[in-house]
Amino acid sequence: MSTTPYKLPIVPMIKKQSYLSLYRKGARIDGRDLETPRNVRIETGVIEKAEGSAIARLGNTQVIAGVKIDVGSPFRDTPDQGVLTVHAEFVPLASPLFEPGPPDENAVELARVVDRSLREVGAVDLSSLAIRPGEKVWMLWVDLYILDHDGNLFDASMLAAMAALLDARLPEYEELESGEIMVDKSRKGEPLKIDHRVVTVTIAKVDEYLIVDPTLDEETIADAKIVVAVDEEKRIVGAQKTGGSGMTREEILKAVDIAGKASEVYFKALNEAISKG
Amino acid sequence: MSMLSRLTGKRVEPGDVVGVIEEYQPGPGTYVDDGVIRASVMGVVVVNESSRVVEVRPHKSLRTPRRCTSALGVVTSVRHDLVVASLIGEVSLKPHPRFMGEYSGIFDGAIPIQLISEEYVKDIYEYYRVGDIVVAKIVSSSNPYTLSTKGPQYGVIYGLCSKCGGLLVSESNKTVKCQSCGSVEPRKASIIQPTRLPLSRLRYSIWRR
Amino acid sequence: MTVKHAGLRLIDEKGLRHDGRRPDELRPVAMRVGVLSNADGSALFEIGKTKVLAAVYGPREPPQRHTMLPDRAVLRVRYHMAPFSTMDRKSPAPSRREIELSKVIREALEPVVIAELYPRTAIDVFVEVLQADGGTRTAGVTAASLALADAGIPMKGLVAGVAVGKVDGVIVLDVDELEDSAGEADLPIAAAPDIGLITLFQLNGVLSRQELEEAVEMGLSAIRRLVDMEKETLRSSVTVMPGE
Repeated sequence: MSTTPYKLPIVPMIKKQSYLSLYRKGARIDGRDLETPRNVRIETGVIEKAEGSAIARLGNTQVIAGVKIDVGSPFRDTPDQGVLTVHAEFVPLASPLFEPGPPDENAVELARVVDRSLREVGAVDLSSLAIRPGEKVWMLWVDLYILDHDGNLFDASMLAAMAALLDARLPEYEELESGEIMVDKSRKGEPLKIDHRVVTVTIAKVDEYLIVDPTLDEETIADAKIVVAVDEEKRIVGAQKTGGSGMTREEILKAVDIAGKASEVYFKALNEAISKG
Repeated sequence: MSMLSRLTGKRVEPGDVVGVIEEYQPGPGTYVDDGVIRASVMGVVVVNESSRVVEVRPHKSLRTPRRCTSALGVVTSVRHDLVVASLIGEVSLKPHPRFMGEYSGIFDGAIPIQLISEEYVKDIYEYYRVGDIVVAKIVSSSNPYTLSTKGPQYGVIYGLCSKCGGLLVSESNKTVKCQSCGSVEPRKASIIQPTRLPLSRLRYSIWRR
Repeated sequence: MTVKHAGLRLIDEKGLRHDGRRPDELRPVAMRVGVLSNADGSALFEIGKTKVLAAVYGPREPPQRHTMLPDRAVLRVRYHMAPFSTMDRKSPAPSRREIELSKVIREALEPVVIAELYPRTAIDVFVEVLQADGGTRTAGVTAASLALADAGIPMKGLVAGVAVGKVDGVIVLDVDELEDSAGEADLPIAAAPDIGLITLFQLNGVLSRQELEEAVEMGLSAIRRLVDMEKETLRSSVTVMPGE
């Protein structure tokens, strides 16, 4: 069951007025223009025990992604493909609003949007993850851990997930005579076969303004958001409107155009982190 | 000169010794353990030689609502005999109104009908509405805090226009006016200039549970 | 997890451990405070490959009013491991182990937090293990102590913890995961040295009376060093004087 958010913002309107008067001039409270994301910092290999990991910082927002790789059985309908699972945890240290407990609808939505953005375009070549097709495949777990919430968890999570997947190495393994697969996680082998790099660009609608990479304050006053997944060729590889208001056709098309441009900033940070890592 | 007065200005961490009870009185930011006065917060030691009090001025002051101080709050419900508000932070009224900082969390407070105004309150809805940002005096020492808005400084700083959703600011002590559509609504308004309390600086206490 | 590593020697002929440490040597330690923007206090503590993040919120009103006490703040502590913190992925649902350790860590902090100053409130401490390589509960206590001080919560003293163990018959300081799983005993201990209190004490395994005393001494002496480092970290974290 999904309920209208009842944790009501208490001083949003006052802030909204001052934010709107800045938007009118094409400016924002942190000095950005409307279409530029915050400072992006990505670091890979931050968790040695994970097969791949990265921390992405978008302004004050911090998300860690860890990739764990195990051997498992494939799904019956895709016997020769590995399994990719994305999971998000909103741990309570990240925000005074997060409570301990199983993932709520926001955490599930976040994980599923990231999952689809990777899956639909075939970012990870899942057929390269078959060890013995039909029997044994690699299972990839991408765990997103929100550490500090200052808005736009989608873009930060997607950057962390993508960087962690690019950082990941399959563990070495041996096939025993019994057919069992013995995995040695202390020995890191081949990188994953990543066919496409994908980022998401989140655009918030506040009155008639469309703003890229909203902070938590901006998300609070926003009517709705649209998350647009973009690959390096600027193809649209996924999208999701989120938030309890509608957007016009023109707004959605404009948002898609803005996303293409803003994605360059994310790809630059991502590619730099990967070449450094 | 005693050894302790040389402690003034010294940086200390919780647990550090700042004095003994034979010589000094424990002040704020300290506690006594087995006759020894120790720091309970990180901060700087201040020894007052005339009153013989040793205290630690904290580097990060933790703010919770205190009796006889003023609080900034948001009205979360209005009942026939009571206004309930979420308290966000402390306001100092002297020498001029100033936002002192946010509390370490959001605390509940209530203005009973008899403490809303000096005059007799017949209809509580003529005084407060949900969403109003108010300055109130804390008159009890534990939560849920009892609040009073008797006095010209206390009352609504901002409200939301019931017609257009615009910002209401005080026009007289009994009315607020919408800055967008010009509509006037009755309120227990404060004489404090809204610009004295820049709410856009609030860190994260922008929600209520 | 008592996997016995057959034939694995944890102490070599020179008396050094599998990673080259002396028996009474800590792994490399790093401490940072104020690492999160939302939390009222936060700290990252690393010891070897163990990485633990702690955040403090409050004093604040707990969501359930009935959990408040009239004469003091309640401490609420959650110890939780990230799914990617271990060799095999850990399910993010809280395990029985995490539930016990949350309690043990809370009871390691209760003796130092001056909760009487904030009646009818809750002080929330969240401990997230980002990477586990032994000693995560004691690292959690150390990180939480830093985060509490960073939040400005009044404390009688700082606490720190370390896991002492026995491997190949030798009492060793700060056991890592391998030593913990292959060793004969594991003794996590935390203390507030300024006020002379041991606040966390567990023993998993078998020790003689004399070994126990040796282990406690070794632990307490390391804890004193860790608390000194905590103070140094807090001191260097503050650059601006308060405008009180």
